[in-house]
Amino acid sequence: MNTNQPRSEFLVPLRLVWESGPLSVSSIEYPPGEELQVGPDKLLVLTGAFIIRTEFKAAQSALPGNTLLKGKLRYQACNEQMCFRPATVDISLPVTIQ
Amino acid sequence: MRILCSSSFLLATLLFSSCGPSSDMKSMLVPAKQSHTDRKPAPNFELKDAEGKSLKLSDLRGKVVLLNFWATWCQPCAMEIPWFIEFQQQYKARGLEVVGVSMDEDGWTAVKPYIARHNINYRMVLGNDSVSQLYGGVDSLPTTFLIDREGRLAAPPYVGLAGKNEYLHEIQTLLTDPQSTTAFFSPRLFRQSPVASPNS
Repeated sequence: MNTNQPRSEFLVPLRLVWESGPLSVSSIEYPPGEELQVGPDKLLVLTGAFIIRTEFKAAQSALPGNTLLKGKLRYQACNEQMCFRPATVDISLPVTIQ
Repeated sequence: MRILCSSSFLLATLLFSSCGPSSDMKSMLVPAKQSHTDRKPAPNFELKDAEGKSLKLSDLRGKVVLLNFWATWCQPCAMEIPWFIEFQQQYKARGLEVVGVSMDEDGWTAVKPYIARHNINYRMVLGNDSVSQLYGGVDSLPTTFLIDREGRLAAPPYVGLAGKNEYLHEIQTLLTDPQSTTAFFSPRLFRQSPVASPNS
């Protein structure tokens, strides 16, 4: 699938968006991807397993307890022969604020 | 305020698995021998082209139609487009009509700049789910159908990047002898195994 910074404006970037909640997002770190020659173009793609890291920060007003962070991952996948339509999957992450 | 006992920051590491090349696909050889009488009518549709004009597939009866479902974000589709431009130039006078059906969610905002940049010389319409369902869902792109002069599907679809010569052979056969039997195998027809459960 494409990285978050594909080399063409026509390609669909990988994008992770967290819903607002008790924690704010400080940063999201996407993997850099690797070059893949497809026809005349060199694309930046992710293959196999990969990791996206998100750093959260708790507001002073955040209440202690368990909570569920929710987000959405937008992606668009291809192989050498074909592409699949852009899709979005729900992400959830249980955390405990103490 | 602390999160997870010790830190004011939480570092969330999410592991995803992408679709590796061909790893989730199974090649399926489809015997595609279709006699003229076995051919089924190509489902009709009416869609708007880039100039807002209506295009009905049934209006193209009498021509051989190459119907290509594609999208601007599809790199294999981009590799086929120069061939289709060439086919349109070379065979239009003999009765070929190439029609692109864009499945871009962003519509003309995405497609018009692409048409201009790639000097696409054939008619383009915006597809939708209704039309893709008529043609079997079109889960992956590119997917291309060849339609004979009588408005019938001349062969199973090319699903995925096909060879230029495969198209060329089929087009020339249909243009030369529309009554001929189409006998070819499509080695590029795949069945998708879902890697995730997309909700949009």
